[in-house]
Amino acid sequence: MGATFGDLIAVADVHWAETMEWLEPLELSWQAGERSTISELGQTALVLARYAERVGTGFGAQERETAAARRARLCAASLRETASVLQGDEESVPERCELARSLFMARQALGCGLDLLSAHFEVGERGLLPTTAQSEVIASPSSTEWLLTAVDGYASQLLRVVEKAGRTDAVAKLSEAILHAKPKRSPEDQGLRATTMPEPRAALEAGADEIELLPERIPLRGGEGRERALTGIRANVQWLEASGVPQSARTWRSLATSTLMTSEISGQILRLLMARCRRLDLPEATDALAEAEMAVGELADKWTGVTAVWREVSCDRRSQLDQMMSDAGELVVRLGRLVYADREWRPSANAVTKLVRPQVLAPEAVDVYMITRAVEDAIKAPVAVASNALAGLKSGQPTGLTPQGENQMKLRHERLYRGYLQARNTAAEAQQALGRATQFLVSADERRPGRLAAESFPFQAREALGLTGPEATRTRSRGPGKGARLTPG
Amino acid sequence: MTNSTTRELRSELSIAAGLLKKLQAMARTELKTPGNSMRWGPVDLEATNALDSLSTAPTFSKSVEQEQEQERECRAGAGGLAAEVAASVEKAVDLAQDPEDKLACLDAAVHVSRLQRALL
Repeated sequence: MGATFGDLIAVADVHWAETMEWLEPLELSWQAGERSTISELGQTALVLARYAERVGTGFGAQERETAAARRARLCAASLRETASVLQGDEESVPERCELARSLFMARQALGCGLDLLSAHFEVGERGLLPTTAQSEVIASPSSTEWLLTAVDGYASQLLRVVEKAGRTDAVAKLSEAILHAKPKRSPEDQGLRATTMPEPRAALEAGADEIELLPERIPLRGGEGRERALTGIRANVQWLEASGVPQSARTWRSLATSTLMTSEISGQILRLLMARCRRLDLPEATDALAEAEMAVGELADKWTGVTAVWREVSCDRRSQLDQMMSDAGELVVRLGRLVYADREWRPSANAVTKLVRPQVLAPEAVDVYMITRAVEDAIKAPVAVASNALAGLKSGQPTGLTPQGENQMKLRHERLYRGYLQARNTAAEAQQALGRATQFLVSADERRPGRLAAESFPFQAREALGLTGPEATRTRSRGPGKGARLTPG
Repeated sequence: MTNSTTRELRSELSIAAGLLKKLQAMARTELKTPGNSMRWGPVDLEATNALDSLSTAPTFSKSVEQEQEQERECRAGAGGLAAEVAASVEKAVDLAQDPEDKLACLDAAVHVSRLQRALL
């Protein structure tokens, strides 16, 4: 199967996302002003200019100038000016920094994509001539709009980097280009776009009923507060539970790694909670937490086994990660930030592994309860991932393996099935132990109401402990109050 | 594509693959210690993904069986290895003329970029 224009656009998009990943963190954004980045910005503007020029002439096949073609030509001119403003001393381009390298990859993908499209035309006396059945499609008005919209999107991302680099001269030119590329919002245009851009989002719309039952997504924020983190954990897990069998083999593999991390961090949290419970003199809860910790430790072993299988099965590159990976990734980061002494914690080789003190994680019994609930939520993720995997394995999944990977999978299918099955069962055991621990925490509080009443928020605490009855669960998303937000659902 | 460019690309792919395997081995040794997944899990994952991507390059698949992986002196530590892989894949993207080769390298580059962040 040959590389298609769609493949190249898809990989370009991922490299644009990578570019933004290198640009966003404060400690990395210096790369925007690097000489290698400035040079890449200029080169990327040139590739976008080539796109706009091809669109402006309908790949050479256009006989009369349309409004879109005129916009494309103006856009191309502004992009060329942007490039010339950014072009420096090309003779000694230094080694590319990571940000520049991601830009380089994005423009290489876009350039190669344009070459693929252009291969459907050949040079004639009056410019390019269409030569294949697809030439007409490529030069059609709807494709023109699609391509201009794409140029607009890429140029807008380029603008973010140029702004961060502080190159006001280029900002002005690039903004002009974007203005020209911006689709004119006529109803006709809208219709065209709808027909030419069947995006994966369409699949989501089909299941609109299900999605209404899911909580709103709570995007991960730097330095987010405890309440947002706990609500976020629950939302991440609910979305993961609803996402079903992963579409791509690489998602299966990534989910195995992130679920292993979720299990290990959960174990770490439970150990701190046990220490805290001992200190708070809650022996029954301590025992139940110890049991849960044992089960979660075993769970981590099971996932280690599953990740080992995924190392040995080759996954094809035509398998982008599914949306569910962002939930799985956010879940890991949120759990990590609860327990490690770094508010900006992320998994990495140099990640902080110093733990917060137990009394910081959970000052009072009510906090122990809430964090235990959060772990209980988190452990639903391994259950969901394993259950979905089992369903997938039964129905001939995963797809998206290389031919070699298909053979490797045949040999390991049974082992993998067993691994997921054990993981699911162990996660279920851990859930039961966690359920017992929360029950003990609730009853310990009932026996000693004075303990919480002595705090300044007895009402909220009781509500948070679920003592006000099940109706409280429905108030979760309504008010901003601490008690209401953290009420178990 | 000329023979010499093909040879050069093949050699670059082989160098990148060799370095990625070293990174994998490094990560997998670390992963033997329980509780280490949040430090080395993503490194192993992305190195494995990058290797899989490279192996889909038509020029690569012809080479693996026949040639021994080439080695290149590289900067110390996992970060140094990853920087070398990144440079090598960048060269490969530049050298690749066949869209299939190019796409495979571009896809590997996504994972190498993530790998580098996982080592920060």
